Amino acid sequence: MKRLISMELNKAIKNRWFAIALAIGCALACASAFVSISAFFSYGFDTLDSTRYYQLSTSGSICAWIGVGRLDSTFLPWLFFGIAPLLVTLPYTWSLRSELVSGYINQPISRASRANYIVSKYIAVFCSAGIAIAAPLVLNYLIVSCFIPSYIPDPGEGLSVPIDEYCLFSQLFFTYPPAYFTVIVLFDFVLCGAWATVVLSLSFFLDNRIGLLVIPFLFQYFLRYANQIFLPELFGEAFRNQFNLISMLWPVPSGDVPNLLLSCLLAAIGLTASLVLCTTAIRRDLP
Amino acid sequence: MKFIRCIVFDLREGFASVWPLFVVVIVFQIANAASLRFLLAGFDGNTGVSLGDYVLFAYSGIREYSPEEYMRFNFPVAWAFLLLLGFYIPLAFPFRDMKSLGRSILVATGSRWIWWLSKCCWVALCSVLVTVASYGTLVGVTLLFDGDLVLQLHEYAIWASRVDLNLLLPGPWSIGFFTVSSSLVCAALCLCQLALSLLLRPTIAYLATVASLFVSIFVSSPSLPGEYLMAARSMVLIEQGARCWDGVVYALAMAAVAMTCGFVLFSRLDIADREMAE
Repeated sequence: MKRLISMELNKAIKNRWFAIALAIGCALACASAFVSISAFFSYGFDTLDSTRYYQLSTSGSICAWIGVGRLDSTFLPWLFFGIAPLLVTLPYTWSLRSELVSGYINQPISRASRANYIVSKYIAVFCSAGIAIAAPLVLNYLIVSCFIPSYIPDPGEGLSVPIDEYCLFSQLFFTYPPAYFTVIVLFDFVLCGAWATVVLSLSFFLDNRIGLLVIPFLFQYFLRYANQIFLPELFGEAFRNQFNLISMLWPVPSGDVPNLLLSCLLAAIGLTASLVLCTTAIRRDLP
Repeated sequence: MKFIRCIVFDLREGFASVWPLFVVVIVFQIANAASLRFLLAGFDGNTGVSLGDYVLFAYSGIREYSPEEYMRFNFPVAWAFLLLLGFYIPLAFPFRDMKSLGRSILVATGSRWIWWLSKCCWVALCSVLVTVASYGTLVGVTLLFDGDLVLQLHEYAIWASRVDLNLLLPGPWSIGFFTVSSSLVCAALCLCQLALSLLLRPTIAYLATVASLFVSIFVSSPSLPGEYLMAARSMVLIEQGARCWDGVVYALAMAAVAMTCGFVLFSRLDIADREMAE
C-alpha cells in the first residue's frame, strides 16, 4: 500500500499538468503580490524612516494577501479564485480516466488490490489538488510579507477593514493574523482536495477527459447562479452564496459569507461519497 | 464535393455528441427567464416582458467596474455561465475527431485544408446554434406568457439587468444589432479556442478563453472580447458604449486570424503523435 501511494504521489507531482496548474496559480499570485506592493508604496511608505509610517493597520501584510485582497482591486484575486475549481482538477484528476481508456489500469490492479489502488489514487489526487491551491496562496503571502509590515488589523478602522464579524475565522484575523492565514490555507487545501476527489469519482461516468475537467467546473458556476438567484428567494438571505466552492474558497468579497459547519459538512460528504463511488465502481468489470 | 462530405460527416458526428448540452442551455434560459419574471412580479408599472427584456437579462453582463467609486462588485454569474457553456460545447469534438474516425477522413480527403475548414465551419455553426437555442427558448417563453415578440426594451427590465442608469441613452432602446454582433464574437472566440487548442491542448485553451472573459468583466477595453458580449456596455444602451459594428469587425478579424494561424499550426501537426495526449 505504501509503495502504491508513493508511486501515485510521484506520478501526481511529477507530471507536466501539475506543473502547468502550479505555474498558472503562482503567476497570478505573484502578479497580485506585485499589485498589492505597488499600491502599498504608492501611499508613501518610506522604508528608511520608520517614523513616517502613518498608514492604517489594514494596509498590513495579511490584508495585502490575495486571500483578503484589500490592496489589490484588480481582477487578479477574482481570476485566481474564479478558475480555482478548474485549476485544482488539472494536475491529476484525469489520471483514472486515462488509465481506464488506455488499459494501463489492468497493470496495477493485477499486482495489488483494487481497493488499495483506488485509495492511493484518491490520496494522490487529494494532495495534488490541495498543493495546487495552497502553494500560490503561500507564495503570495511570503512575497507581500517581504515588503509590507505585518500589522494586526484594528477592527476600529471602519470601512477599510475587509473582514467583518460574519466572515470565517474573523476572530483569528483580528487577534493573530498568521494563524488566520494558516487556517484559511488549510481550509482551502481540504476543500479543493475534496472537490478533486469528487471529480475523480466521475471518471467512471464521463468518457471524455475534457468533459471530466470542464463539466464539474461549469457545475460550480451553475451552483453559484442558483445560490445567487433561487436559494435566497426560496430559503432566505442566509442561504445566499453558501453552496459553491468559489465562495467557500474565498470567504471575503462582496458579502459572500459561507458557513463553516456547512463547508466542512459538504467537504466530508464529498470525500466520503467519492471514495464510496470509486471503490464500488472499480469492483465492476474493467474494459 | 470532398468538403461537403467532410462537413456532413462533422455535422452528423459532432452534434450526436453535444446535443445533451443544448438541453442544458434551454433549461438554463428557462430558469433565467423565470427569475426575471420573479424579479419584476411586484414592480409597479410592469406592462409585460418583451423578448428583448429576456435577452437583455441573460446577456447584460456588468457595467464597467470601478473600485475607486467603492462600487460593490456583483459577478455576472448568469452571463458567465451561458458563455462558459457556449465555449465548452464546441471544444472537444474537433480534437477527439483527430484521434478517431476523423483521421481516416483526413487521409481520404487528402487535404488538410479541407479537413481544417470543415472543423472551423462546424465550430462556428455549433456556436451560432447555441445562440439560436438560447434565443429560441426565450422566444418560446415570450410566447407562452403573451409577451411582445420584439427586441425593444422596457425601463424596468433595464433596471433589473443592472445597467448603469446614469449613462443610459434616452429611449426607445432596441437590442437587435447587439444580438447579431455578440453571436459573431462568440463564434470567433470559439474559432480562436480551436486554434489555441492545437497549440496548448483543449483544456488550457478553454482556460485561456475563461481568463479572457473574466478579465473583460473587470477591465473595460475594446481589445477584450467580453466588451462586445455585454449588453450593459453596448452603445445600444449607454453613452460611449462598445459599438456593435466594432464588434462585427473585431469578430471577423479574429476569425480570420484564428483560421489562418490554426491552419498553419495544423498543417505542421504530427497527428500520429497526438494519441492519448489529451
